[in-house]
Amino acid sequence: MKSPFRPDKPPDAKLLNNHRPLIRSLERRKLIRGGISLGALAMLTGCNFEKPASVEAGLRKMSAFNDGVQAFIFDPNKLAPTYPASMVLKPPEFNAYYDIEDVKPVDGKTWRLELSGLITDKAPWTIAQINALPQQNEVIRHICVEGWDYIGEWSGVPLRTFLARVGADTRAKYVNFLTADSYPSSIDMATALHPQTLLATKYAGETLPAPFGYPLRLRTSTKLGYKNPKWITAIEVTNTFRPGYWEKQGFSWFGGI
Amino acid sequence: MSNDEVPKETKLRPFQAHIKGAMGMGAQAIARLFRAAVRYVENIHVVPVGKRLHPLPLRIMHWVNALAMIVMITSGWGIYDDYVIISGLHFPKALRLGDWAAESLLWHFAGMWFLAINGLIYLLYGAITGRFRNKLLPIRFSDVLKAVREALSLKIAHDDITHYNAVQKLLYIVVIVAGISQVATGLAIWKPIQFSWLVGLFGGFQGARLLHFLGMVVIVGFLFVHVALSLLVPSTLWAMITGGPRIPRHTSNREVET
Repeated sequence: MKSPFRPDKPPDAKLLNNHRPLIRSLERRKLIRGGISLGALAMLTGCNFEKPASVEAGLRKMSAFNDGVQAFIFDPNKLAPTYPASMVLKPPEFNAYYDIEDVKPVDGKTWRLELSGLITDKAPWTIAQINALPQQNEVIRHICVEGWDYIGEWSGVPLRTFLARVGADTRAKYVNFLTADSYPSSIDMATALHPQTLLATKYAGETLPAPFGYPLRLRTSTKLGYKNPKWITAIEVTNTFRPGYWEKQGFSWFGGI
Repeated sequence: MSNDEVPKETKLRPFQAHIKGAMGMGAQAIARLFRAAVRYVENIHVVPVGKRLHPLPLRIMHWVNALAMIVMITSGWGIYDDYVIISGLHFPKALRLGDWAAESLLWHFAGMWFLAINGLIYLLYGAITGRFRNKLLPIRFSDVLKAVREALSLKIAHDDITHYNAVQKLLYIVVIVAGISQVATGLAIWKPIQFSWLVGLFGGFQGARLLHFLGMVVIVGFLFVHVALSLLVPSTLWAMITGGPRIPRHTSNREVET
């Protein structure tokens, strides 16, 4: 039977001859295979068909809005409950983006705390100098974003005392931290000035053990665990927003409790 | 009977008879229409035309809530799996919203606004319009027992979808309370320092977490019964989409029962 698609007048034989190799190379299987690879390629672009990028962007926007709400809810004068020393967990819970065996201890002798940004006196600090500053002790609850919690006893210089000492501009929006384990972090100025926010150097009365941030770590009573960077090497006071390690991956920046 | 006595009509030629018949039918139709119009006008004044069983605002709130609940439950499972409460109990990845905890948290903290704001409007609506009072009260213990007995003997009388039986009333009250409790325990988990008084009410941070989990269990349990029954009596599901039958004003469960 003659195909209904066959033209009434056959095309020029010369033209057909020219195209014969091309037509011969057309294979249905190849087309199907190609189609499948195209699908695979589309997946490689990171465009998940079930979860378009716009949904992800919308969720991130919502989280940024929630950061604003969290800052609004945050009461700079409200103290976190404190507990008797008998409730302190020894040693504390370890948590990082790697296992405790992979902790690289920091040498306290060569360690220096670098300062940058809106700070008058940017001279680096040794651990002895920091230990000479007024100390504060607090037994507070640590709450992890995962849902677990424990009570710990932390000592060190209140961050607000330190910021005043170095002449930081406390009208700036953020206090950023760099750490020895490449875990950048940043907090809002209101939390930095909270009376229970410490640059901690001791746990349960003892010098911080290596896995928990020796020689210097942040300890806030009003933020989730991941907002407390360990092994701090640099502090920056700034108006530039720099999201931290987990925040870049989708966790809330404010992380207030 | 002579030919002269034959009725006039039969003497008419066929097309004339048709015209007459048509005119007669037309007159009858007009009269019927008129009588119907009079009845309609009378009815407007005599019997008030009631609202739908589920007025439009309520239907919108129901489906917004349904969607928000599913988002909150499935993203909550993703958050739960990061640090389980009952060891060994994990929710499979296929049932979780969000590929990992961070994403589930993003969904959870976006969905919470829809759930809480929609829920608040629903509570105000139910209280102001009297829907709660009309539909959910009174609820008597003996009625609950009777309804449970009937349900267990598979005698589920549900030919009138405008009235809830005692078990239905109880279930709706329980799930509304569970929803309110979820918002309260959720706030306690989200802001245990800022709302430390709330955490104290729930027996500490882990207490609030456990209650938040149990609230989910209650709501998911309700969801199974609710969806199963709506599929067994599809007119109820249809009513939540189209509004359902119109119910006369000034009648309610309370008046029917007294």
